[in-house]
Amino acid sequence: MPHRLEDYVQVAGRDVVEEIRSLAARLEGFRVRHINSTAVGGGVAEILNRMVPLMRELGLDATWELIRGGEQFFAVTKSMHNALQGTAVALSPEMIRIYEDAQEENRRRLSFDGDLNIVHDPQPAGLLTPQTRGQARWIWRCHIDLSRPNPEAWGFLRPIVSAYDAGIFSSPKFVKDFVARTFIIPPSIDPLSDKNRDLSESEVRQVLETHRIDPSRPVVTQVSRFDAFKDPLGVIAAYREVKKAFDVQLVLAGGSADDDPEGAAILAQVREAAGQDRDIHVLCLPPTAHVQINALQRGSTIILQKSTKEGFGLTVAEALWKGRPVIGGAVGGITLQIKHQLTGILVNSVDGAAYYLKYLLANPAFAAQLAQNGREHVRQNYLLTRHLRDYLVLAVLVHTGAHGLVPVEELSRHRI
Amino acid sequence: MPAAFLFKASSKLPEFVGIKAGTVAELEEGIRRADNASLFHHTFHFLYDHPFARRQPPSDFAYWVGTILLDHGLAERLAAITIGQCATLASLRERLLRILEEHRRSHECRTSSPDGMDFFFMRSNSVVVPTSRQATDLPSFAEAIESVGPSSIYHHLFESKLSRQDGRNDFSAWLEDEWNQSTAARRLEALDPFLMSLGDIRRGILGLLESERRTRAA
Repeated sequence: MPHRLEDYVQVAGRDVVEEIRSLAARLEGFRVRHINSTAVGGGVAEILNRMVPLMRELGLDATWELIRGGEQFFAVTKSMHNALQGTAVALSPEMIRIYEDAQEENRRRLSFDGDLNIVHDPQPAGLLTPQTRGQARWIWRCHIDLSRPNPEAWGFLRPIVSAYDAGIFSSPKFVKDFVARTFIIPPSIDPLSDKNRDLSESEVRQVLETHRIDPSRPVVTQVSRFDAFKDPLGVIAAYREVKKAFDVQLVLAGGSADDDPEGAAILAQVREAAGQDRDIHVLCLPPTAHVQINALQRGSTIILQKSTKEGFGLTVAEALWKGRPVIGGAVGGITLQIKHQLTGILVNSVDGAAYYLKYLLANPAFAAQLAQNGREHVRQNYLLTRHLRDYLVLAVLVHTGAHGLVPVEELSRHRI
Repeated sequence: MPAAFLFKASSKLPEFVGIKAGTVAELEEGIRRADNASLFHHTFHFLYDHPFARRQPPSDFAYWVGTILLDHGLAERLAAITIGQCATLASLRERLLRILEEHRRSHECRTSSPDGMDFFFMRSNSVVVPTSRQATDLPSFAEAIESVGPSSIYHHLFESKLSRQDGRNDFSAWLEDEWNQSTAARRLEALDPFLMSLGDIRRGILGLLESERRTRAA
C-alpha cells in the first residue's frame, strides 16, 4: 500500500510537505510521463513505484510507461550500460539494429502526450524523434556515471540524447555535457519503506538474536553484495586489526549470490578469510529481507561501506538514516553523502578503516555527533520528499525556461 | 497599520553550468566566467543543504582549495572574507579574484585536483512559494521564526538580497520599514553566516528580537 504525502510529515517535517503542496498547486493537471525499461528490481523502479503515486495524489497527471524488448534487446542495453561506464565493449551493427528496432516498435506502441516526458537511462533514450517530440519537453534522466564512457558507446548515444531539452544526473561528477541544461538530482531513499522505517528495540534485538549476534558487545556491519569492489576482504582485515584492541563482532550481510558466479567466488573467499572466527557473521539474505537488513543496521555500533569503486552508493544514505556512525570508501557518490568528520568518515585504505573504527569505538560522543549529523544530512538531502520536490521544481523550470531565483508571482506569466 | 510579513519558502534545484576547475588558475577563470547565481550557490548553499551543521569554511571555494588542493594558506584567505562586507555579488567576485590573483603571483600553485575531484561550477535555481505562515506584529514574527522551515530562513535572509535593490534582507527591511526597529535590523544584517549554522542563525534572530523587546520594556 503506497504511503500518502501526509505520512511523510513525521520524518521530513511539516514545512517540507507544505512546500511540496504549494509547488504542486501550480502544476495541477500537468502531464508527466516517466518512461523506463523495468517495473521491478533496481533503484529506478523502486523510486518510480513511490514517486508516481505521490505525484498523482498532488494533482499532477503522472504516469509510468514501460518499454518492451526481448532478451536480445536487454543483452544489448546491458552491454551498452557497461560500455557507458567505461568497459571496453564493441557495439556491432547487429547490436545497433536490435536497439533501433526496439525503439521503433515502442514508438509505435506508446503515446507521448506528456507536458514533460522523463526518459530514464539509455534503454528507452531513442524514443525521441522529430515525429514523437510533439509539444512536450523531453528530459533524459541518466542514472549512471557517464564521466568516462567508452568512446564508441558514447559516440552512438550522444546524438540520440543531444536532442533532449535537458539532462539530469545524480552528481556533477557523473556529467557529460551534451544538452542546453544539466540538472543535478541525486537519488533518494524512502524513509517509510521496510528497509528504512523505524523499528522497535525488540524487533532489532530479535533479528540480532536470530543471527547469534551479541547485542551487548560492539557490532560493525557492512551490508553489500559480495563483490570485489565492496572490498569485503579489506573489511575483514580491518576488523582483525580492531579486534586486537576492542571486543567487536563483524557482520557482512549480502545477497545469496546463487545466480552470480562472480559473487559466489567472492563469497567463498570471504568465508575462507572469516575462518572459524565466531565473531564474524557472514549472512546471505534473500532480496526481500528488508526488515532484517534494517534491523542489522540499527543494531550496529558502526556501519561500514568500504567500497573501492562505487556509483552513487545509496546504501550509504540508508545507513546514515539509521542514526549510526558510517565509515565509507572515498569513492563515487559516497563522497557526496559523507562529508569527512561531519556526517561520517571517509577512508582510502584498510589501515584507514581500522584506525577510524578504533577511533569511533574509543570516542562514542564524537561517533554519536557524526551519527546525528549523518541522519540530518539524509533528512535534508536524500529523502523521497526532496526528490519529489526536485521533480516539481524541474517541471516549473523546464516548462517556463526560467532560471536563477524564480518568485512564484513570475509563474503566473507562464502557462503551466 | 504595518504590513504583515508573509513567509515564503525556497525550493532549490542545482544545475551544472558547464565549467570545471582543477587548479587555482582554473578556479579563478571559472569565478570570472560564472554568473551571479553560481557565485551565490557556492557561497551559501551549504547553509541550505546542512542547516543543522557548521562546516569550516562554508564557502565551497575555500573548502575545495583547502581539502582538495591542500593549499591551506589560500583556503584561509578565501574563508576569511566577511560576507557582510560585500554589499553585492559583484564585490564578492572582486574580492575572490583579487585574493586568487595575488596568491598566484606570489606562489607557484602547481597542484591539480586528483582524478574526479574537480570543482564543478553549479547554479541554484530556486522556485519561491508562499507558506501558510505570516506575522502581523513582533511577537508573531518571533513565533514564526521559531517554527518556519530552514528554507524560509535561508530565502528571506540570503536569497532575498538577490532580488531586492536596497542591499537589505527581507527580515531587516520589514523590521526597519514597518516597525521602526533600525537597531534590530542592523544587528540582524550583521549576523555572519560564515561563522554559524542556519540553526544558530535562527537562534541568533530570536535572541536579538528578545533583547530588543526587553530594551523597549525597560
